[in-house]
Amino acid sequence: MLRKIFEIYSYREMIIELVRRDLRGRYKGAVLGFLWTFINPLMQLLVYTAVFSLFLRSDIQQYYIFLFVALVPWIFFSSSLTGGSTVILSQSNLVKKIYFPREVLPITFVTSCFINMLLTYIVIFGVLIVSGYGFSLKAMLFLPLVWIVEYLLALGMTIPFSAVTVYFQDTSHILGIVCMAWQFLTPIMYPASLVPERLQFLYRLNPMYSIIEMNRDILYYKQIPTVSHLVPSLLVGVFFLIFGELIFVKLQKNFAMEL
Amino acid sequence: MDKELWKQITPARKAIFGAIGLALLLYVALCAWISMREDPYRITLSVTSVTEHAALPEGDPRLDAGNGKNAEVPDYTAYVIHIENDANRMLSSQNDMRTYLVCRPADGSGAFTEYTSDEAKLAPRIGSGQAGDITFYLDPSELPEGTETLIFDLKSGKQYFSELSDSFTPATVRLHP
Repeated sequence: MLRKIFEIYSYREMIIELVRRDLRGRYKGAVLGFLWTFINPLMQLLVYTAVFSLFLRSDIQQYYIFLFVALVPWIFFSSSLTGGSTVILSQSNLVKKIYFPREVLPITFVTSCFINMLLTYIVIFGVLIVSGYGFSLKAMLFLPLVWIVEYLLALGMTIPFSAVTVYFQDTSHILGIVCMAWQFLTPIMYPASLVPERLQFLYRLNPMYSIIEMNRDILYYKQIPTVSHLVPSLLVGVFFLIFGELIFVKLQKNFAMEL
Repeated sequence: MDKELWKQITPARKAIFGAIGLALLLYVALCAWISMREDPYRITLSVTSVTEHAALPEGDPRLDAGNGKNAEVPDYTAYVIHIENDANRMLSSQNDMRTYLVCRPADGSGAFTEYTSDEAKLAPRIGSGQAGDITFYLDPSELPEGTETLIFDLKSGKQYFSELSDSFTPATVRLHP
């Protein structure tokens, strides 16, 4: 495993270049270019605010903040998983022609999505300040830790699925449906307390539950996340990364034949 | 550790890795220290006033018992409970802590009444470091005979919160001062 880490590290320049290319390529040809990174979430926020303050009135105070601080990490996770699952297929020419650790491709994709999410957080911070909602500096100290945990989890799940999709291309479509259902099984649009007590144990097995709750604790409730969320999430993230890599190593042997 | 691999890394790079690792470790340790130092469950309660024979507010679900007519329901005693939220978390029914105010006889003789903060739209939404009042209505006939002292306490639907409910400072009030 350590050898693999060093090998991937030696290809860091390739990762950086591919991430840069991906980020630039997202809005290539658009007049506003990179500004869309900020305009997109801002527009999304405006729509949610309009919908939930005019039509679907919620009892939850500042529902748009309640929703948005959960939606941003979710979008990162689901787009990493669904988009990242096809990354080896879409780069088949590169895979067939030159040698490099194949994990570089899912790492690049997830990292690119991650940077995009971090840029979206600038919009969140801006909204929290401008709206007067504010934030707790002590709680904010925990946010990078939550980001690291979420990155590990997203990477750990994307790596094996990017390999599985090479053999079974329907995986990416199935993942799209799974992510849609998964979103409703995660406390993004509603508080977790709405779930009946008898189902709470099952509900909390969802690894994204803690990630979303921690984001909401820090940015919406302005409180430090509890250890009972933080530690299991970190362990689950590391577990998925190790397990995902083991699956990837097994499956990558026949990539050249399948692509 | 693979020795060959270790030799390939230059001393300067080893120093950079070490510094990054140390910084990460210090950061995690700082977070853990703050997390342990903070007691997110400490909330102080005190009863500021007691009003005898108060009418239930309009819309209270308990009014249904008397077909919406206040005259047919028993006289309630209203307790105004002052809550000082000295915890670092918001006290709110929206928060998944789902806070309940519980009233029970001090001698532990069974009966207790639960006040769900969702009920009658009297949700106590008390931010960290703030204070607020909520009104607790109690039918004295529900209490065991001879009850002299009541204890008001907080509990929560959230498991980890309930486990630490001993951290709350409950309020004690004599029924006939």
